[in-house]
Amino acid sequence: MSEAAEQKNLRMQSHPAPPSVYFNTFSDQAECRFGGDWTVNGESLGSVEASWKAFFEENPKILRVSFKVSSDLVWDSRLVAFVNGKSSVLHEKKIASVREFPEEIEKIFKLRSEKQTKREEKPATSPFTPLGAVFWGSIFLSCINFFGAWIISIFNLFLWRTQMRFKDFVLCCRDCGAAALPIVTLISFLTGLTMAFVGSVQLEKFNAKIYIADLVCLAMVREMGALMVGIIMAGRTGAAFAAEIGNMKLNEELDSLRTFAVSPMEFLVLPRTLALLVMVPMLTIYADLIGMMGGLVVGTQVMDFSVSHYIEQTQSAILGMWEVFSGLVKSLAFGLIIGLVGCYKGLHTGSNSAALGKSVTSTVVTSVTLIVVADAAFEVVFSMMNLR
Amino acid sequence: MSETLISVTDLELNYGNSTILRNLDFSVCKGSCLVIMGQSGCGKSTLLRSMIGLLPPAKGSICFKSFNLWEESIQRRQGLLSNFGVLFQGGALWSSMSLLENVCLPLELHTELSDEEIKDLAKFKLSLVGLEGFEDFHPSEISGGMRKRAGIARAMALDPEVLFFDEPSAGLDPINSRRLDNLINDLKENLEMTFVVVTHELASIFEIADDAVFLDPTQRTIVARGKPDELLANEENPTLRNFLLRKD
Repeated sequence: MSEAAEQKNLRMQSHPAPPSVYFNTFSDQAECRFGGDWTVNGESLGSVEASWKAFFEENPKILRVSFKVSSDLVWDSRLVAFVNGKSSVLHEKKIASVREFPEEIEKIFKLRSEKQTKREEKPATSPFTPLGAVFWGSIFLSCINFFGAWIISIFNLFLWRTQMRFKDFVLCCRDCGAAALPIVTLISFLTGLTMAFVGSVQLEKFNAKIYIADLVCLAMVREMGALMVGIIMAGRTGAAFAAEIGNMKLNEELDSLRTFAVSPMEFLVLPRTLALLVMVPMLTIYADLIGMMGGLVVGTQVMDFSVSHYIEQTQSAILGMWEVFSGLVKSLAFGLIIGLVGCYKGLHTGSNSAALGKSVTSTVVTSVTLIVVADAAFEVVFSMMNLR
Repeated sequence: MSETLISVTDLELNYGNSTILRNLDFSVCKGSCLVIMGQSGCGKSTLLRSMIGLLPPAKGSICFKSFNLWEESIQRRQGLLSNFGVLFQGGALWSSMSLLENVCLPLELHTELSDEEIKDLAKFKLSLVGLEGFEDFHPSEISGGMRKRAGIARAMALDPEVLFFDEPSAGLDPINSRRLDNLINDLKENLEMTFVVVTHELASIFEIADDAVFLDPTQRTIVARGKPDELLANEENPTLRNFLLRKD
């Protein structure tokens, strides 16, 4: 045998004929014979489907079909699944189907019928559900409910009948205050430094380089200090709150709190939100100072101003304490947003670990978005009230 | 005849629009251990959640002594629930606290005891479940069996009248599972506590149950009630017989 013929022979052995189906008709009865490679590694069933469709279109009066196999059949569960699907279709068309398969194929059908359980109707869900008004309405109501419960827990705190433990509040203050100092220092210093560099290029054109001190100081105390701290805390602390509380929900720790008549709102949410309400303004003051130091470094090392000159200019930039307070008012709101969003997302985490990841991501995105929206809203209100 | 502590009447439980369980009627006697058994997914844990005040019923009542749990005000219900102790499937210990702090917390929030007394009580409860010396360990630092036992100690913190256990043997090896069964029997005999245990562990069921209810996932209700030995001897229900004989 030539080498080419040998190779062809080998190929034929390793690749059986493609899956096929042949029909014979006897008045209103049909015989359907399967042949070729009916394994999951076999070829497409395109031609089989076409012959099937053509046969039943040409023979609409068929009332009974019997399934048989050819001698060249190679099969696995693909054949069983195909026959099973087609039997259901025939059943719907009121055509009886009978299997006349070898015992080894019938065993698979038997196994399947034994394992079949009653089908449960799954509630219909639309892919557009997350866009629907009902969906957003329920989220809105849930947020209002959560905020209302938070307000009540604040009242309970003032009435001294809270379940919040003071030591939890102190621990939260440490975690979201002192522990955040390194990252706040780095980001604020670099923010001040960058603003000074960028501003100096423009101010140099007007021979007004010394006003770089005013620019950095006002930008930090009015805007950038609070904003940068807000964004850092959203990514750092808000996400941590969501992950911690969400994990507690997955481990049934929240349920166990409830069984001891302990309110998760007072026991978990209140210390965290209060800690952020206290620590974010303090971190903002710190970030303002560090940002100004960044400007000072550029002013003295790059622009050759003296330290005292730069500081004097910085002091003159602040016309009143409102400049500082406006930033602190914003930081209070940012702290509340981060705390409430983080805790809300944690408490409303789904019941699997993927949902926990989603909650954490959603916390950061929602917090940062709300912080930017709130910042813009504050600026509009301050301008309307002639406070700028 | 023993006093009835909990009575469940015509209870129906739903999740959303689908009915999980219906027409449930049973009672739990003081000092006994009632096992709620059935196949996975038949609604055992759902029933337990409703009995411990976490899931309101769609219909029917759950009464503790003469008080209908779900018709009382929230404050009153919370007061009634302080008579219950719960062991969740995974222990559900508060992971940020040590074992001692876990047992102390309910005492701190619900009693006027001094800190010293609370600590002594918590140490005593931990020693009852064989965890003396592990007070300063965190849940992540101990084994699954120890976490379950610490969960029992916490559930007993307020000396409840009824202890609810959700799948206490789940995830435990046969030896630890047996130890837990022995612990339940010891507590029942020595402290005269009442237990409601959700489980499908056959060995545990025969070991601890004074009474049992069998939930059928197809009919979504209780199809048999009695002592497991008697149910095995007399009951004709094929699902229950297969369940008790571990047959397919």
